[in-house]
Amino acid sequence: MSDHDDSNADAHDAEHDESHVGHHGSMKLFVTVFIALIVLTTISFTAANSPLMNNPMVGWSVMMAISCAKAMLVISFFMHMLWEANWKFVLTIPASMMSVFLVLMLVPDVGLRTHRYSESRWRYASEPQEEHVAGEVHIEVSPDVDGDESDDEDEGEE
Amino acid sequence: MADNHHDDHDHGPLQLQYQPALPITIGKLCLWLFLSTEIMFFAALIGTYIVLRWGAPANTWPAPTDVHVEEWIGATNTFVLIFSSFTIVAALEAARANLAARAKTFLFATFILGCVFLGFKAYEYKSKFAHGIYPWGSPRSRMYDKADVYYVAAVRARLGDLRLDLDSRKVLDGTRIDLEKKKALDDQLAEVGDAEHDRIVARLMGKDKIEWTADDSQTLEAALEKAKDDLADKGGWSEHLDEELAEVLRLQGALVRWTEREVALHPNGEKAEAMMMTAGYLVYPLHDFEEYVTSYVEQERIENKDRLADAVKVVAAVEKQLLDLADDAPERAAMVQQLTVAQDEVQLIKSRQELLSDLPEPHGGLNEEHHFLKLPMFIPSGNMWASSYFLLTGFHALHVIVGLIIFALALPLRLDPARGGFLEATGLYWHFVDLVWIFLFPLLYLF
Repeated sequence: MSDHDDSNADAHDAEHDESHVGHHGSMKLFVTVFIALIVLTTISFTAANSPLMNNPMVGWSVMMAISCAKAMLVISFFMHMLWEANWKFVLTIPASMMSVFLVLMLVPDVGLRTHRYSESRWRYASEPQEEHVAGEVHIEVSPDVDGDESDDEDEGEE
Repeated sequence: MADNHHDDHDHGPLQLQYQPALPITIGKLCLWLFLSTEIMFFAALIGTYIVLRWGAPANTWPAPTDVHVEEWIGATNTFVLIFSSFTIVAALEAARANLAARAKTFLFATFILGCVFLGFKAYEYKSKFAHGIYPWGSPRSRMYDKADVYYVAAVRARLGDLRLDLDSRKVLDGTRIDLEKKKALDDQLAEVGDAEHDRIVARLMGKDKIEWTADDSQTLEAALEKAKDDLADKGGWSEHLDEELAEVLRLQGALVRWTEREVALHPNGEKAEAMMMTAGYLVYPLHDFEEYVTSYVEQERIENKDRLADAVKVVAAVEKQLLDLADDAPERAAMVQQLTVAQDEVQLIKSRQELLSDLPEPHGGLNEEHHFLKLPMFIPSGNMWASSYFLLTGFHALHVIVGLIIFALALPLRLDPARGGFLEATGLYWHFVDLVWIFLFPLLYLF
């Protein structure tokens, strides 16, 4: 009987300890994180409408970096991961790697699907036509009809 | 183990002690296992979107503004979700500090914010459906990936349907107005006295030259106006019917007939492509094609001037021949027909020139100008975009709904420290939903 009581008490203690251990951070900290998230969102929004988008790759990279920063803030503080033991890596890292592999496996078949289209394949493709000129992809839909400026990549035009 | 075995003999049933492998409760462990599958699920979805988007032929993915994705809604929803993430953390803090009432307030705030998010989402979906952007293909979706002959045929089919519909509505409305007229007349006749009655009937029969009195006309007019209003309320009478019909007829000629004829004359050439692309641009102008279409249209308008001059000459020549012909000449009928054809051609070129004279600005176009048209739109990779947009946001919204259900279930509970574990798990799930949106927002709204 006394054994039983003990184990009950232990379990209760453990739970109490656990909740105590998990109880990091303060409202002040969470408010700070919240404000930081809002500021980052604003920066991201501003970047999308700024000259950074003249070179989309730069704009996109900035926005993705901001998103990653926001994600880290949410994971670390709101999800308390900062204060968890090392089990957090066991659960999150393999999952993240799996998803990266999944996406990488799509690249050859889906991402690069149009790279080896033949002329006739283009004609009947559901996508608008792209022409391969001297190994370079140039868009037939955007350049002038007369053919001048046909080598201009319209990348910068968003 | 030996001790345990020994104890078993001494104290009866086997007493196992739970040794947690991880320093967290089972509930939290399960939730994290679930979240790790969710990480794979959403990372794969978002990753696939990225691969599809950057794998699409250069510059063919629609810009957010091309498909009615509004940045401010996305930004507001981001704010709403971040705020809700904060409130659920605050609810957990309050519950752990044994402030049950405060925890409930924060949980309720989270619930409301989730609803606001879904409300915005519903508004967004609705505005896309209104513009013919659906995640599933035709006939629902009005998006065409290529401006080819199938696209022009679809425009023709739509205009044909519209014309049929407008024609029949016009006939129907005409009949209904006649009926209302008759009714108004009957009503008026019933009101007036016998002498008046005879007078009006005589007038209507045309036997008498009696003039309407001003009062008569006024009453009848008023009755007719009311009849028209009543019909308009029932969706019957439309003041714009004639205008709409005229627009459809104009487009059938200057847009579809012209394009199809020219394409038939120059099949497979750059010119045919430019013609069809122009048709797509006139209906739904995309910024990407502005330069291309503008330069082509300039060229065509110069060509059309010559064509118009030629066509006018033909008309003049035929007219002259007709004048010279005797009234009973056998070839007269054929000549008259020739004249009609030539005049029709002049009319068509003029109407084409007029259509090309004011090229729409991006995000204008015929569909925006006349909402009843609902013509098929040329949006490269539009269908792929719609599928991935609705899939990504749809799965995310589904998670939001599940979160809201959990919040709703938790709201009646007393949120004391004993519920800390439950609130923490709910919070972790909700933060994950927020996390997904943090990536979706720039990808879908800003890129």
